[in-house]
Amino acid sequence: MTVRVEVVERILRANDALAAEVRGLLDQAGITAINLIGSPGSGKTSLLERTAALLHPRIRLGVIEGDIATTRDAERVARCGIPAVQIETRLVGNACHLDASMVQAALGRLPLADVQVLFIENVGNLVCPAAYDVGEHLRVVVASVPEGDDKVYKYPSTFAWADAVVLNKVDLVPVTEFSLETFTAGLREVTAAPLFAISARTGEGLAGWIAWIEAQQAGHVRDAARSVTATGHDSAVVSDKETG
Amino acid sequence: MHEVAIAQALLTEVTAAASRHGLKNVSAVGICVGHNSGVAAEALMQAFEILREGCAGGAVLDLRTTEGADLRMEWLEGE
Ligand SMILES: Nc1nc2c(ncn2[C@@H]2O[C@H](COP(=O)(O)OP(=O)(O)OP(=O)(O)O)[C@@H](O)[C@H]2O)c(=O)[nH]1
Ligand SMILES: [Mg+2]
Repeated sequence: MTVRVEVVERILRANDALAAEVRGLLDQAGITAINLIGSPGSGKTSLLERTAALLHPRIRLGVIEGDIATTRDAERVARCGIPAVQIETRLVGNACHLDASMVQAALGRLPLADVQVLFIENVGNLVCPAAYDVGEHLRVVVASVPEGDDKVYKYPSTFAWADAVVLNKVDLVPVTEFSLETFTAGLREVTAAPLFAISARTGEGLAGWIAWIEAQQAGHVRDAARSVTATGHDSAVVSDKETG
Repeated sequence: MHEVAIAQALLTEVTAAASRHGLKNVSAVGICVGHNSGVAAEALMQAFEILREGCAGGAVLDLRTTEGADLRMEWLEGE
């Protein structure tokens, strides 16, 4: 006899559970992880190279690079003196996105004790990566001027997902029809997340981005310390009861 | 683009839920896919049809869409 049963469950339940595990491991290691997504060529790796030059080793960075093929991006970042590991998704089913299991495996190849902020550069793609929690604390979309000022209107859920948005290649505004006003208006329809208009080529606008990372890192460390204190307090209460 | 991976994850959840509820053959799976989930429903249906196996070998997807970012399995029918 045919029966119908209610089984309400997120389809990505298994990935989300693993992502929570990864986040827990990163919390314990005192690492703030930032998931970077953006179209192919928007300048994610260029942004990381600039960020490394301005921030490392004052804040020690680490990078996980996700691409379908090649170790080129990990090599670029490693040349900046940053520990970097590459995930090539052609080896795991050509995935158009990173998932939590790939990031978990990559963490094993990084010197976690030497890392304070971990950047996870996702596979170049403005859609698929946003569906997958990889264990990050913060999500950043990197868009760029040549993609056009209408991208927020066309991919609203991706931009809504972001904790911060970087608009790269502003040095190209004079040679395109790009309107920063149109882009910003679209962004404000879906999110109040900070927008950093920068050029990884000229270095313009990077101070705000660097300050944001520093503030997020400090905030995360503070929150982690508070939750450790809270746990310590709880266990003190338990031991009070035990002794009392 | 990532519908094959989503279909694979769905098959895993369907198989686990079917065994929890003692269903040997699943004939239909109710799912909910939001317009903002980044998943193309048509591609997900096709991928599932290719991947389905085991107790879900004959299962068809019964799709409900929403405006949100939902991506859920909701019910199973079978015996
Ligand atoms: N004009 C200009 N070009 C830039 C800027 N930032 C990056 N580029 C160029 O854009 C191209 C792509 O840069 P990448 O940093 O490799 O982009 P990506 O997002 O990492 O690319 P994938 O990893 O392949 O998705 C390169 O040719 C860069 O030199 C910028 O601010 N201005
Ligand atoms: Mg890159």
